Amino acid sequence: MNAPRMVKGTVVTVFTAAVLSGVIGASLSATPPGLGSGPLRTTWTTGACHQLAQPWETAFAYVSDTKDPVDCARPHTTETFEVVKLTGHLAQAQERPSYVLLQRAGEHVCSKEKFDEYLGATSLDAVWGLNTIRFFPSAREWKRGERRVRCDVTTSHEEMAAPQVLKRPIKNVYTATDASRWRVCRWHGDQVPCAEDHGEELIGPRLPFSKDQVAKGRTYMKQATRQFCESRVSAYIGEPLSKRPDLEFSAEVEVPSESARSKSSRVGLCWVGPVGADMLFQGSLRKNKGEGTRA
Amino acid sequence: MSNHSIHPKSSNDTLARAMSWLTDPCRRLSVTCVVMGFAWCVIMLGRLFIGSTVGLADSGDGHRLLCQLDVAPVGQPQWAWVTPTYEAYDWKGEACSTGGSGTPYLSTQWVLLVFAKALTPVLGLPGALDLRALGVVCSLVFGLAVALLTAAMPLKIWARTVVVCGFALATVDSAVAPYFISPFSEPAALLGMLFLVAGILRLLRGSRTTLPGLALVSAAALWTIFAKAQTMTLLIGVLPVMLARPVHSPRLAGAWRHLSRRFPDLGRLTAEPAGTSADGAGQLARDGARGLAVGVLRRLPAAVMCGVIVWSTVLFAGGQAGWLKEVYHVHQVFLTILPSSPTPEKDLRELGVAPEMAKFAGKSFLSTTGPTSSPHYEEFLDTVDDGDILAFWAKHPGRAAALADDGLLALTATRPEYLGNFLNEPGKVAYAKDDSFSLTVMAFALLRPLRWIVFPGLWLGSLAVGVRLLRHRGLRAGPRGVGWVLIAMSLNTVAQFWAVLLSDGQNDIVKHMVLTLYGTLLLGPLLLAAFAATALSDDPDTDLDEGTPAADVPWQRAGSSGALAATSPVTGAEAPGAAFP
Repeated sequence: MNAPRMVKGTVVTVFTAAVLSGVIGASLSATPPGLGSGPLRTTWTTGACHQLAQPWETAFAYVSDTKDPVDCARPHTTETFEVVKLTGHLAQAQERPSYVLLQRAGEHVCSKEKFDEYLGATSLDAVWGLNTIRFFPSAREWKRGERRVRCDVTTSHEEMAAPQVLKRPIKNVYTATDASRWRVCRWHGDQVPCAEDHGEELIGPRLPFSKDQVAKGRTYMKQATRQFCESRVSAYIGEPLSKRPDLEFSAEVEVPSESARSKSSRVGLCWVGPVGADMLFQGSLRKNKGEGTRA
Repeated sequence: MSNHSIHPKSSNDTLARAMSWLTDPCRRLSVTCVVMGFAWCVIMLGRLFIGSTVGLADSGDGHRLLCQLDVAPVGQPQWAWVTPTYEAYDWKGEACSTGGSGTPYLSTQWVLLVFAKALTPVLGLPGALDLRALGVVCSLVFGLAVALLTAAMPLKIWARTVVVCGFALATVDSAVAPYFISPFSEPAALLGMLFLVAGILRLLRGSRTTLPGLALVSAAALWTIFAKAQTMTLLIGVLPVMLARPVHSPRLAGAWRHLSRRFPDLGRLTAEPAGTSADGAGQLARDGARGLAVGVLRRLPAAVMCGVIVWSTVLFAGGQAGWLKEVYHVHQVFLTILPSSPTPEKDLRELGVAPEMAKFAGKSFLSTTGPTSSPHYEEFLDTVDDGDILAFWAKHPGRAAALADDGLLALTATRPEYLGNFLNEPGKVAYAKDDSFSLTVMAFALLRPLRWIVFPGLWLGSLAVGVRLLRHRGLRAGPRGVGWVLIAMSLNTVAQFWAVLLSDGQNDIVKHMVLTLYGTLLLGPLLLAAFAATALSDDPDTDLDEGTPAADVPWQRAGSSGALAATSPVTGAEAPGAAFP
């Protein structure tokens, strides 16, 4: 073999070795491609707190969470209030079904009563900014027969946005604090959390009207709502309204925003607030709040 | 004696020696390859970074790949702007999977991203991974691909330079280059196609292929296929190329000789006939059968490698998330079939789907009021499969033609309108497009009214030119290899076109057509190469492989129907349909 060929061969060999070394070195130094780290094992403990800070971790399509829980005194985004078992024909599938079917099957799995109980909310508390998020077994857990569903409370957020971070536990927030950040208030028609400036505060629950009642007309529904609200306002503020001349309530009838049958559905709502159209305040009128505390 | 006259003269001598070294005919090719690679690397770097960074915004698909690098985007990814910076984040479990399905999104693009992540701090870029570092990595790899293409192109040096510049221009175009600063898997596929072309040209430079050559082509093909599953259409072009010529392997030849000595009957099966036979027709049949056996044996190593490629591709495709199939079926029915249907309910009945779902025509998988919200959705998933979709299109050829027209329109659109090319910087408008080098964009827009003539004409015409080149008498093996590349690329491009239409259909169709677009663009310089191959002879410096014939082995048999000298013209062994003479 002549000298130029030897040189060329040597150069090619050295170059190839360098490239391969670079590739192998870079590949070895990186975590291998594939799923995220950690065992694919869900924490099924009620009261556990979870820090899921990225949008994908709470997105509709990302149905499992196998991150280790965190201390509830540390920042976190969800808290588990219930673990239930999924039943029905979907649970019979050997392979984990489409997330669309899972989420649909899970829509009524998590109990509103357990949700309220965890938060310390009663029927009088109009919850703002908190809702339920469900987590299902990972595909591997599903194959091994796991069929539990984890129901977590989290802050409301748009799809593909990260939930708000909670700096304190949300458990019993409606009894331990005035929870004004998590109550529905209103200022000039715009709904705001009660921690912000507002003129009226919503008292739960909403009074749904049947079709027959809707057919009776607005005057009937308003009257029914007034009667519904009178006792509840007093219970909410912790004393008869007659003893609070600075407060007044209004009974309103609205189309519920979340109803699929919105054109024919109506609900009655109870609002309480200071007398005078332009009176502003912050915080909640709810009795049963902690002294001088804010959520 | 004064020395003052020596110094200027010695620097001139050095320069003269350097120029002499560079222009030495023995290393002219090497110098050209290195200069081409370096120059186009620099051009790509300038194209991506000078003035402003040019990339492609994240459509939302970036997460499934980038999460595997343990990074998360800084801020919400936006369609309007390129958001190149990613911070370190420890993803757990299925939060890093394809659409939350629990299946990882595997792609060879990961390798390029690993290098980009290592390079990010070196370049002083923010975050744990910055996609601008990926642009640098891709530019370097692109330069290497250009150098290898220049080395492999079987033409005179000036002709190689012109042709490879054509490849390079196609890659720096505004329709292609922005992908090199993006979170998508396309860059690995785009660069892989260049290496594959170089590998095939290298493989076919002689009348016989070699095991290392086959290995390189296999590696390039698998790299490209494993970049993005839709590129498995490459098999349609690559497999015939690998089987086109017999394999030269002294080791295997030695093993065959050893076997023949131990088992003489085996050697006699493939031996030359001792003399003439009175039975002429029988002798012809025995010669034909023997020739076939010899042809098969001589291609056995290539067949084994083809088998490995096919098996690997099947495994890779089979590993794709079932979620992707679900998405494809929804988009095929509700975004592709129904919107243009005169009878949507009838179409749904034909597919076995509840006709009530016709109201979801035009709605995508992600729509909250789309087909996934239907009570019949589970039934839809259980009923519709790939076979049903293909059968539907086969039964409605007119509508398939209309779909093809939509595909051609998407091809001529060249780049997705909804994704911006620039960072969110002063002076940049949201969703703005880079037009610094947009020949393709302009040309394809002009050709849009003639799309049915231009694109099918180019694809089928390239196929015809490739076949013609194979049959061209008087051409050496290397230039005929250009014909094979033309055949492979044209078949792949057509297959890619239909793969896009029959998978995700109308959903994001312009972006999904980028590999078809790139394949189409590469046909241009390949046709130029074909012209140069027929009009010009090979460069005498071209280093062609020479076989070492041995008389008594089927691998290398001088003078028989299967064995070819390196300089022989076309034989029946290479004509299409005659891979096994």
